Amino acid sequence: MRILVAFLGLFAGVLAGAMVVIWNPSERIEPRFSLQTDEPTRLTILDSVARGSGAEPRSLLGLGGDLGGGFSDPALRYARVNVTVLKPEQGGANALAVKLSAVSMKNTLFRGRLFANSAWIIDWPGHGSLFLVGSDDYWPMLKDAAWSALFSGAFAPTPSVFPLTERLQIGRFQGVVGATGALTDFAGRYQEWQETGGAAPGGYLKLEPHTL
Amino acid sequence: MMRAFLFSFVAGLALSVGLSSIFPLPDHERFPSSIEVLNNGGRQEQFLIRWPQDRLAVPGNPGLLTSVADSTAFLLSAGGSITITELFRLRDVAENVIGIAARTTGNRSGTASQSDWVLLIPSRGSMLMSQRDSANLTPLRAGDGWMLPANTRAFWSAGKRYRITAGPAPGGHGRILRGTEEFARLTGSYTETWELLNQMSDGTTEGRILLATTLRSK
Repeated sequence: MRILVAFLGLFAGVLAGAMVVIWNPSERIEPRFSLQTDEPTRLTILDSVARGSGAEPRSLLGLGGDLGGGFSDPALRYARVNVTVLKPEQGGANALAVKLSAVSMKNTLFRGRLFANSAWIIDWPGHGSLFLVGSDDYWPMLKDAAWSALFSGAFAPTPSVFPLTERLQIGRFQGVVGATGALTDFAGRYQEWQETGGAAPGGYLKLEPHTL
Repeated sequence: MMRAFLFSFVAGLALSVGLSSIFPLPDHERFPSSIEVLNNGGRQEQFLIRWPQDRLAVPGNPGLLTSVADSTAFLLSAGGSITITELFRLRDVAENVIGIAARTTGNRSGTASQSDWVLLIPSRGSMLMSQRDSANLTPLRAGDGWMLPANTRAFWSAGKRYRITAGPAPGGHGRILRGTEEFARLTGSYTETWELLNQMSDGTTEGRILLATTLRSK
């Protein structure tokens, strides 16, 4: 009887510990990132193809889920390339975007950090291009996936739109770092949202021009 | 009985919190960097790309894009202008694959094109670079499809080595706009050079792209 009670206690303790890690207290004290403009430029992902490590918690934890066959090169094992068509919500020409990202080496479950570092080039044919760098925060998606695992047994986030830039990774800039062509003077910040559960990869970016 | 439960509960709690700190999260393989320190300050590092073997294919094709060179490049056209992005594996001078590179080329004005590079070395960070090209490097129409200039005989008619970068930085260098992580506090310039190594009977080519970067502290 005592062994059964101890086993139950251990199980309850492990579960409680997992809850503490997933709803990590240190995650709540990290700096939040938000745009200040009410109506930033919104770029919707019309279509996208990807190859490499998947854009969801399972892949960032190193548990598989590669896209497009992944990469066999050891140095690229946890990197991803996305080729995307972006459509400005306010109208105008579509843009060709390429996003390269890699799992952050500063990730730690103990401190509630599950980031990927990203760099973008967004190019409007004949017009100009924007260069973006930032970090994608997959912790909210991990929390959702853990919740799903508890209730449905499947470790995958529910179909939804997740903000990838809810927190700032300390020491990293999140925004537009360069521009060419007609966009040369553009500076600003951005946020990204990722849609899960859809037939095709989806989501959107919001660009906020920098005000001095 | 209660003591047994509490003791094992605390042990379980400590176990899962402890496991979270030692959980083996992904780490990137890193090769020794081949960096040359310059006499007058700064550092030089070369990267190379071999074509066609380093071209990265991405399965599928976004509906509004045209796939070029066996899905290793994607083209978007609008209002008579085109822009193309090519994907590559990136190597160090010892030929180790160390990262991914994307080159976006567009024809904005005049006869020469403009190219933007993003290099991602997962273990070290990323670099965003921009240049004015010495020629028009946008793809050429070939029947119903498109052909990359480096895959045409005409492009190599005058030589086997071309410096592609023609500005905008002084000396005809390209500009390194920003770096992240290991490259975060660095600024500098670069040149892109194409070398033809072999030309097949069907016109296709083998060659390499050399990216020579010069970086110094901001």
